[in-house]
Amino acid sequence: MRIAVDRLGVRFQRGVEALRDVTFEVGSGELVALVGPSGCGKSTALNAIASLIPPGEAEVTGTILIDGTDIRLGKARQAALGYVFQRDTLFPWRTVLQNVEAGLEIRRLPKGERRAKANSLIELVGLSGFGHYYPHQISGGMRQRTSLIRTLAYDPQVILMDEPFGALDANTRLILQAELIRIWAQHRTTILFVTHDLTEAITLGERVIVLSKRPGRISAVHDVPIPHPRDPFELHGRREFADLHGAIWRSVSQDFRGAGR
Amino acid sequence: MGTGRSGPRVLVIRLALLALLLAAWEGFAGGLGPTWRLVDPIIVGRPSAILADLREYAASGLLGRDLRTTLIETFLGLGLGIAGGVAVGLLFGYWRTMAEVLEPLMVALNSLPRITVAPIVILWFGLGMTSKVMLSLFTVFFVMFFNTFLGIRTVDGELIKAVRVMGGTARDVTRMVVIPSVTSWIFAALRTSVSFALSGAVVGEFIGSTEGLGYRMLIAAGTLETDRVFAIMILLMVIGSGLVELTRRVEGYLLRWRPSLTAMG
Repeated sequence: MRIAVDRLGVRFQRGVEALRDVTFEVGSGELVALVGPSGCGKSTALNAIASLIPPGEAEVTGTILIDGTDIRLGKARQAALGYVFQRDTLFPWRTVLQNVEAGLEIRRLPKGERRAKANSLIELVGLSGFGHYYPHQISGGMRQRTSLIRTLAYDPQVILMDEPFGALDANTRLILQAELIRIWAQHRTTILFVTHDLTEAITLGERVIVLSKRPGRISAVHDVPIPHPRDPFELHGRREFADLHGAIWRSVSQDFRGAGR
Repeated sequence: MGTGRSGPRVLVIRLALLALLLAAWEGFAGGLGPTWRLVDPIIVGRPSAILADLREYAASGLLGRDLRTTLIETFLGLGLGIAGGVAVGLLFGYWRTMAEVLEPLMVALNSLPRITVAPIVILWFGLGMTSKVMLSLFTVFFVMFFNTFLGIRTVDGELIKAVRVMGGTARDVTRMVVIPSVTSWIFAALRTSVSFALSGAVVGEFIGSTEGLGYRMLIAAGTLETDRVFAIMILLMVIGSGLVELTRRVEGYLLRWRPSLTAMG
């Protein structure tokens, strides 16, 4: 499925303009990274696409189409959309297995099928044996893995990811990036991945869209000419990676420096 | 908390201390001969006499009757108080306008010392069990009400978003997020409610009644039957801590997903 964002603007009630005139597309099956300094409206853009911004909270202008259908028509998007949050939003009162089953439960899938599917995903990300653990009993990396497969479980056509690995330590982060690449290469789901980390954006994205500081506007779009599946552990040492990182960094560092105020 | 997890050494020390305390009490109250006697047993009672009185109390059949009365009052008050408190709490949680209008009233009623409504409750509902049930209900109601209300207000918005984004309806949100999180608040209030229900019933019996442990205790105090007073106090202590322990276990099982209540692994 394709995401088409056209002249998206978001202005919050208290007068803060989060996004202005943002236009971009994510092709079907594409993995695109949206990067920008903190507070630039990256998450707001994702929330707008997922129509998670309550009507009374902000004025949203422009159009967002998912496979040609305006998201404001509701319904249709829900079956097709997955969202992985910054903070893991696992239900603390459900075990890993029950968490992964949540989306399937909403879709009224019979229990046996639910369980089978959830278990195969649990295996896919190496959580076998942890199905009956509660979220507080497992590590941050395991929790974020669970969040990821909870989203994958109901086969969304589009997955929006909001800095899902932001809270993890550097090594776990690399492992999860590698896992995401592996899963994406298999399923070819459309993914829009938001991060404030340029390295992560280049590691994952086939394209990198750079947002300026608030109000967020698109300041650059870069193709990443490194073929997928990439290996995050090996990638950072490569020449083309360093060159691209340097080029993008030079174009945005001014903005990143002034951000967060 | 955690009383069940201490090692055998602690248990032995505890029992030794208890024995020492009882022996001292017995001794100073004259139970071990006049040499040790320091205080009048009419004032402080005596463990052996308390035990004997408890036997007599039970044998007379009065204990059974009183116990039955007080427990029925307690459980009816507890059950109705929980049901009422949770129901009104949910109503307030979902119906914002009503909550805003009536919150000061609830806060005012809650700040009223619980016992002070006893005389009026007796006046309205008579000397029978009903008035005790009402008093017990009243004390439990507010604890449950405030916890339920707070529980609804503090539901994690991120979890609601997560359900929404997975395509969940309002009903899915209620089932998957609101109910489990409110339940945890309700259970947290249950332990307090249990002891509140018991005190509600006993205090009601103090103020005006014809039977029950509280009534019997007041009569005994009036006629200087100190041993009987202590016997009933000990009974109430056992009942109270038994009920609290039971709730603690149920709660520990139902809320096993919560970090503070579960052992790791």
